Amino acid sequence: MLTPALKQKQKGLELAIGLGLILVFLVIVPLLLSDFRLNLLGRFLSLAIVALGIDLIWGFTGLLSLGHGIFFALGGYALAMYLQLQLPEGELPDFFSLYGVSQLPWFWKPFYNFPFTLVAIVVIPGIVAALLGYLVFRNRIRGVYFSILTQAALIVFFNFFNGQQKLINGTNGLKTSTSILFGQSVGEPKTQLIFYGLTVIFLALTYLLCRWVTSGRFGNLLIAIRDDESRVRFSGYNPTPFKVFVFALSGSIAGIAGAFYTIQSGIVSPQYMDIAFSIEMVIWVAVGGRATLIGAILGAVAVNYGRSLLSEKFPEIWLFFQGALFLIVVTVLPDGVVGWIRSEGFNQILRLVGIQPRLATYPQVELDEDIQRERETIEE
Amino acid sequence: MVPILSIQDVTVSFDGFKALKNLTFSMEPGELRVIIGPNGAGKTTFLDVITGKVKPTSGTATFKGKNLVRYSEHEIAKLGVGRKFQTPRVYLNLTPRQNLELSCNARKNLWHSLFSKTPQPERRTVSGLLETIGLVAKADIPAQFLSHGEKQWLEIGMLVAQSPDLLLVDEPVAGLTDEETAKTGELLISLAKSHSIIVIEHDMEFVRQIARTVTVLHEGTVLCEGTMAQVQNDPKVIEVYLGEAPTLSAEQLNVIRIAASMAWADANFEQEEQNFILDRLSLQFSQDKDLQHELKVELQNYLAANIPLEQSVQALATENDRKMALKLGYEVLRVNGVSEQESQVYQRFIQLLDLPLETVREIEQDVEKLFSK
Repeated sequence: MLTPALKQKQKGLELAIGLGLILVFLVIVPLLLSDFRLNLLGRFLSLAIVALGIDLIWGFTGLLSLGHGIFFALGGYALAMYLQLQLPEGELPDFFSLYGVSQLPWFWKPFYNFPFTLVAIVVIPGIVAALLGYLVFRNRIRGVYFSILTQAALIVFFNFFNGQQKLINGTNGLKTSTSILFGQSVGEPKTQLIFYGLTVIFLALTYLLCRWVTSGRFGNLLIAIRDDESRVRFSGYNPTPFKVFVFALSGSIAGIAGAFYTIQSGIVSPQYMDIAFSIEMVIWVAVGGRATLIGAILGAVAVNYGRSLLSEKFPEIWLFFQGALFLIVVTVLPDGVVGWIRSEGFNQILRLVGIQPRLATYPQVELDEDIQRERETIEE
Repeated sequence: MVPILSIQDVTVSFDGFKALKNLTFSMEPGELRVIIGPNGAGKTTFLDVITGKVKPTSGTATFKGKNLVRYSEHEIAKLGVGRKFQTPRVYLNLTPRQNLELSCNARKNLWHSLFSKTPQPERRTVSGLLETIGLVAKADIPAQFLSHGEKQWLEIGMLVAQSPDLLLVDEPVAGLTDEETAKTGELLISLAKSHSIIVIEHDMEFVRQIARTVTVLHEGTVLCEGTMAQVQNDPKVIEVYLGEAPTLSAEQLNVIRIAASMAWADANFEQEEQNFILDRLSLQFSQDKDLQHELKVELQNYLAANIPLEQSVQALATENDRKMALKLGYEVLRVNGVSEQESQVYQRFIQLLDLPLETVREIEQDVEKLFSK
């Protein structure tokens, strides 16, 4: 068992490691990687942010969302709309003229404003998620029906964004790489370096937020809802607001991720609401380890790196590899890599290098002197 | 006194199947009530109605004067109804301490769960509860590592942590060892001092340990209500449990029980004694050969149950019944010699019967004559 002093020590150690990692990613990694590789890493780190959101709703609360592409894309579109509007007074973004639109649609107008855009990136996906969540959870729709509904919502949004050329350039999406932000071209390596740095910082902040949410009473309650929702009800809690809140929070996190991903990829398009992409997000979390926040980050970065390496060399086999990866994780490592290491993997690794790990038993057994003496004599 | 729980004429129908039929039930504050009934009697649906999981098709259910139909599950829980499920349902990935803290939390809304820590008094309550349910040593390991009995207790602890006025406990001793069962019984009895409790249970031994008033449910309605002895002798109850109406009346059954308790007096119910009782008693109550055989089978089912002598003797209404009980009881004792224990029990039995001394002697002599032949 952990004593308070030990816990304090462990917390200090974690903080030191965390700060160290942030520094490494902010200062050292940019020196080592080429602009292209750094941009790639920045995109993967943005995907790690959305993975944290998925982990919150799926890993901790047990709700498998297959529609996070909606929130991810909404965040991306919000930022892209602002960037599209960085034009001389009176001009409209190019694509409007293609479709004969001469008047800026009303919902574009607030996006002239930078602070509004920043708020919108977080709040719009959050509100959409909250509305969807409220309707679903209030009617006690759970399990696979929830997943199907989120996927159906994803298809609705995809088709809407795909079809509305006159409003948001339909299937072509909105380009951001050529826009000017604060007098700098967004696509320039120097500006991209800043976005990379911001991504690292926001990933750290999101991680801290998720950690705070999942620790303490609220975190316990999320796990309780995941494990036995009706018990939670009969204990006097109404699970609906809790689930709506977590779903909305997870949606907002996806929005932030979408914005960072968009600005580092140079474009946002309805492809972000592709069904496969939303399922991939779930795979990252499953590979890394459900209900382990660090696992979500590692899973997202590792799987995407694997994809980019493999698809550079053998573009055809990547999809097979991804499918196999998911099958292996589900059958061999149901708790994901980090979950496995936390439960038994550490001991198994120790055994491989020839160290016999100590067996953990019940606390009262650990404290029983007779049993300890016996154990020592047997080991000798 | 205003009943804490009152259920009036409640019917619950699922697609035309009536799980509860015009059920009327009421309970005083501070009562410990046991509900028994065969499978499918509607016991769990009854709890579902009280906790708001199922809304009645017709009728009203009121708790502390509030109509439960208008509230959802979590609101009813907040009003003060705690429910323990049939299989222990605790949060397996949380520790017992965390399990209890979640239930103990007084302000169960989003804001307070997110922003405030567990207050000191609640922490103390949880520590006290951990001691009561004997889980101090395992307070900080995930609940999935607890044994079945420990999970049952943890769930009872979670109910108490909610500080409800009414506890609904569904089969608390299913799958427990005898020792654990006895402990659970003590726990419930001590809880009954400060709570009203409804217990649903199949284990008759356990019911006898804790029961004061027993309600029997059958096919969604209350079959009868009373003390354990009354309920056990009720022909309707016996019919429900054994699938056919007993050929004997409640009074006759009681006489048989007394005779059987004589045979049990030396805590040893020998085969000879059993055979004698079966032959002798089936003769006593029926002349027909077939019926005698049937009766023998039926009797065998009852003889295993032992009821305190006092209760049974009190239930003997007429003097004739008492004489018959004495006669049969004495015969049973005589079958294979009277041991010291048996004679003690017999003395107490005579005292309880309160018959004139001559009558007792007369009957004893009659029996002696019978045996000397």
